[in-house]
Amino acid sequence: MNFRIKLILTGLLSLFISCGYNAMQTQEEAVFQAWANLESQIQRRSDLIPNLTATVKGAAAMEQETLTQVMQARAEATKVTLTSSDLSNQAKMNEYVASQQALSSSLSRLLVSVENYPELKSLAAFTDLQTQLEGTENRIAVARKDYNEAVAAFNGMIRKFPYSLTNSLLLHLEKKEYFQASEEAQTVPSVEF
Amino acid sequence: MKHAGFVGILLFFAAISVWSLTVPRLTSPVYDGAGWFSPGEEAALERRLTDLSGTDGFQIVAVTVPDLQGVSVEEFALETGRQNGIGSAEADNGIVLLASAAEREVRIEVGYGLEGTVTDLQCGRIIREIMVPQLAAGRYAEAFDGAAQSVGALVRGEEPFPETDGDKALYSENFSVGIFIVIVILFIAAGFFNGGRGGGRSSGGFFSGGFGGGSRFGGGGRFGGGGRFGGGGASGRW
Repeated sequence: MNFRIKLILTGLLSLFISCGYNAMQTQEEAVFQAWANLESQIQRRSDLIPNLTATVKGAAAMEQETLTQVMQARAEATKVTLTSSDLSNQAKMNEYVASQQALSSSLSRLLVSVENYPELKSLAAFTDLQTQLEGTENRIAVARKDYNEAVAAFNGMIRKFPYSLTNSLLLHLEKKEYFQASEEAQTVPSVEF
Repeated sequence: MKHAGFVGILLFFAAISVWSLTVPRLTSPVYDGAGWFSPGEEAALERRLTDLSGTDGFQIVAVTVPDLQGVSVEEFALETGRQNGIGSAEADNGIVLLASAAEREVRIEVGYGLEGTVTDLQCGRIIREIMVPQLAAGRYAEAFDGAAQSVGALVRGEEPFPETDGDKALYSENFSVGIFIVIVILFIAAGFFNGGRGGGRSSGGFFSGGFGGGSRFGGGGRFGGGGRFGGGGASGRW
């Protein structure tokens, strides 16, 4: 192999590295991992709801309608799932976010309405569930922020030169959708102690 | 191009909103921004927190601030933990005890690695049963000292509270806790992988160095060990 070929190969190799072929894929992987974490926190909230509704049901017989709404919203939200390839699909992402928001707001309504039941609020089991639920809502908020930051970094990267060129020629990675919650859904349901 | 410019502006403002929050830069386990502790109390609390910190990199810090600069107590505590990298980078075992004078809000922020040991529930009880009564009575040092002792007991595997029915509800979600632990392990691996690249984009994002590699902030003199946080813990008001 003569010197010239070696030089060309080295040149190609360094071009390959600087063009961001690996960096873009690492960044996309970061988006997927942030999504996995967000999803597991959302799942955790969903797992807490049966305990919560069972506790409220026993103590607050008047709130049947609010309870039914929570259970329905949870059932609806469970139906909408996203795989990592759906993260670039705006329609699917919107549907997912909307179903989770519906669940969030029905939960806040429930937590506000139980304010009228002092005997429920004094139950240790209930305050504990509430703490867990608040903790989960907070983790969802953190995971959502981290996911959106990972998406911003990824989307920004694939738009920049020379990454944009590498992407359009070789990788064909798609920009990812943000997890955008409305202002209403961003407020963590909190109840004064 | 117009669109790209718009997104750029949005990202700029997003970055500003993150950076306008200046959390305390810790140099010791106690940061008394609210000026609540006497010199004697501060020294005693510092000894307590240092004694609790183990050889495995476990760190617990007490932070008081005059106000929260307009963000929630959750966000302020999270950023304090992340930017200071409380806990070790290997075990993510940091705890931040934070109280703000103006809002009268308090939070225990738990690092990723301790979320299974120091649960939200237990933090909630420490806040309700120990911190809030003491803070309301103006016994600030006692509030932090009591909380630190309880958290320390939990970390050592002791039970600081008698068991109630609520604990059983917690145990029924062991499965999701298991999934959570797997995810946490994935995250640690991800942080390790990214750290190796040494890139360090400055957004302070989850994967981008600011947090796994918050260590790049202060160099050798930094108090924290690079521990990471994901929003575990509980908050309260007094």
